[in-house]
Amino acid sequence: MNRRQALKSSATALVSLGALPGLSALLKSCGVERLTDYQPVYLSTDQFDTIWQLANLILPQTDTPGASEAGVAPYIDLLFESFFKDDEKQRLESGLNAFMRDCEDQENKPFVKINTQQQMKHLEEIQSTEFFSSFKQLVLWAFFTSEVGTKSMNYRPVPGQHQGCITIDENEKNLVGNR
Amino acid sequence: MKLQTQYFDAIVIGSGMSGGWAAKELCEKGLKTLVLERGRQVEHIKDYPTTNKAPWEYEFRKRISKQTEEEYPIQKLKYCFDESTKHFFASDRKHPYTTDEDRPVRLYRSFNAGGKSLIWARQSYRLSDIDFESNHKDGHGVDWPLRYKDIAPWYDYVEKYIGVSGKNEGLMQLPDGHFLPPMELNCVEKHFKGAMNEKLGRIVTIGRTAHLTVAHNGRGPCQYRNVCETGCPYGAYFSSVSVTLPAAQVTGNMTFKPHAIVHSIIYDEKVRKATGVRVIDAQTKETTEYFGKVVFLCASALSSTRIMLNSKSPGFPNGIANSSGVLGHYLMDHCGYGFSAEVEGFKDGYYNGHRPTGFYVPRFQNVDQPSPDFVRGFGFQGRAYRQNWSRGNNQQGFGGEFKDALMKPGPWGISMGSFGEVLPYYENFAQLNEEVKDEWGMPVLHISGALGENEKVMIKKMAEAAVEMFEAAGFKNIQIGDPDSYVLGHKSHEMGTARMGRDPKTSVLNKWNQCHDVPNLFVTDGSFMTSSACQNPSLSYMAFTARAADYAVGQLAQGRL
Ligand SMILES: Cc1cc2nc3c(=O)[nH]c(=O)nc-3n(C[C@H](O)[C@H](O)[C@H](O)COP(=O)(O)OP(=O)(O)OC[C@H]3O[C@@H](n4cnc5c(N)ncnc54)[C@H](O)[C@@H]3O)c2cc1C
Ligand code: SF4
Repeated sequence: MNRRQALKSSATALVSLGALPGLSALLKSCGVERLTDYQPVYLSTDQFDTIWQLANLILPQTDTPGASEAGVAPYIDLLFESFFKDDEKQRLESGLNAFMRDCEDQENKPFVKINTQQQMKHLEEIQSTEFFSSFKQLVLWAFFTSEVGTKSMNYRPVPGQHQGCITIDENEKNLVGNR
Repeated sequence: MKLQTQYFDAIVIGSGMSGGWAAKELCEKGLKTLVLERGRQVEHIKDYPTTNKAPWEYEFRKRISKQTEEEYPIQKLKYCFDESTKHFFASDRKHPYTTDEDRPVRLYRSFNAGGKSLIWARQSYRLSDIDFESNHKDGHGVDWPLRYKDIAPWYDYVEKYIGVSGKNEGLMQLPDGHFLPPMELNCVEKHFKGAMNEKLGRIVTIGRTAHLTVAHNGRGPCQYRNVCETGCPYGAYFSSVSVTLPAAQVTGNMTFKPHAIVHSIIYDEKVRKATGVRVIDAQTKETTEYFGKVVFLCASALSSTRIMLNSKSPGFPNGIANSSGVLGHYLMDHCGYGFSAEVEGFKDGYYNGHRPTGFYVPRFQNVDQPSPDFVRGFGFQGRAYRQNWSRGNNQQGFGGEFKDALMKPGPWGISMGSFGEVLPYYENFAQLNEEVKDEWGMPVLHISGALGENEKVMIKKMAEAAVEMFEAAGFKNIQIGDPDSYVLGHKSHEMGTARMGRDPKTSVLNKWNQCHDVPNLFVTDGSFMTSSACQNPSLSYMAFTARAADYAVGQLAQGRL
């Protein structure tokens, strides 16, 4: 069984069968339980899981999709692999590592293991840091330019007409196209 | 022995904004015309590979990759340069030029069929007699050898053919034209227009733009996508690829040669005429000669100048038609930078459709009253908009409510850029750099430029004018760009390096875009401009090209060329 299949089946197993003997051994042999089965190409699984969690806290699913539906974390992993220039990559990565370390120092547990309330509290505290603001910008860009994110707004690539001044109500979404 | 197929009635060098017009006019008037284009062929619709692509269909959502950045260090500075348009920009690596460290110049180039007409912003304004008379009146530069009345019919002719949407305002400094219905200003722009009119007596009008708001000559109408720089499958904005080159093609008189780099013009000392051109095949690097009765040079100002400087003969050791020595000098552009502000209110106002133009504030200085600070003038181009999700970049917060709020239109903002007239200075010039050759063995250009005193004063005053306008309209948090960030050439309006004039001793061209020294050589791209005015120049290049073609064909018919 490869790692990906193991994780999928372990998730099902947890729900349907409860903790059977042998399961914990299986999980252990495949590493820690993960929130997603995506295998990062650049980031370590710890880094990736942290990013995945962070992105979902910044842009969670509401009645519109959030970061995980839009594949934000895997996209950021791809950006690390082939888009960022070395200095940018280093800056972001060391920011991420420091974030993970600080959280673990304070909470005695990695960020991904503390509960949502603690995570939110932690984020509130670091809101004005350089790391959080550049990371947030990355998440916004990755989400709002994705197909899922774009199509949850008023996506009109070929409007066919133009009106300069119309009246809208508070439910109106951003008009977006392909520019 | 030369092959028969190498002889033509006319040769047009370049197939961009001006070359497309030369090709159409000469072909329609019955001349067998060879069009030489250094870049690849671009066919209407077929060669717009990105025009229907959504941002998420690019690896990096249109953002430019590291490789692209290395290939296009200058082109990437342009607002419309990204992964969806880069194929219409010339690689800076492949096409180098040199500059002086303290006098840098930026060149934006499109080396393919259609040239920069594929990626231009389509703003189309006439020059006025204020512009044609300015050099004569204030003594900067030589006098234009013609006046508005000479070119007005050709502005009519071009506007009617290409289709320009806009609104007549009856202004002395910005002549009216033949316009298709204007696009609409948005809610905030209408307010801005009202406030400018009432409080400052300045005009805000919708951008006059080469877009078809209604179907016109078998093209359009515009679908309001605002991705025009990828090419328009509806043919709804003017480019030579979608309009003039097809018109030339249907006459059956055009031979179009892509990958044909014109190296120099062949000059015959005995008859004192240009007899043809030397062409390097961009792919095989082989050289071929082509011959014609008349040559139209339309390669864009500095490329044409480079070809002319490189056309040396005993009679013209410093470049063809350069007995005056001014060829390459008096390089101009427009100068300017950006301003923005926040707008309160208008919360229930929005717009529908991605309007591919903005508002225009015509020049208001030195029109009926002289300015104490500087000669000539400047205008503004901009737009008001509702902020989109990207405002979240500068906001605190995260979470579900934060996300849902960003999906909705944010507060209004307004931004605009200034376009100021740059005077013609001898010291702003391009010459051949014999030390550096490009991959085809042609010496590259060395270009040197800077703003003069008049521009330095004017560029500061632009900020005062912008602040005054935004304040008069009640806009808040006004941001002023950095005037020192402007580099000559950045507005992509290179011009003036083979200027027109009355005196062959101080100018290269006469009032027909015809070389004083070589009567069958016409130069009709921006190099002919005697002054820069402050309006976007391409409509003028088209009008002067059509006029010059008409004149050349007449002269040929009378056996004078
Ligand atoms: C982003 C951008 C926005 C712009 N917006 C506006 C605007 O709103 N309004 C406006 O008026 N102007 C605008 N301009 C400027 C406008 O594009 C130019 O003024 C216009 O295209 C110049 O026309 P041209 O024929 O001189 O040159 P081009 O259109 O550049 O065409 C020159 C052609 O000659 C070819 N060529 C060059 N050298 C050789 C050679 N040695 N042999 C053979 N062929 C050669 C080139 O490949 C090219 O096809 C804009 C430019 C840019 C880059
Ligand atoms: S906005 Fe109009 S001109 Fe521009 S690409 Fe769309 S349809 Fe064509």
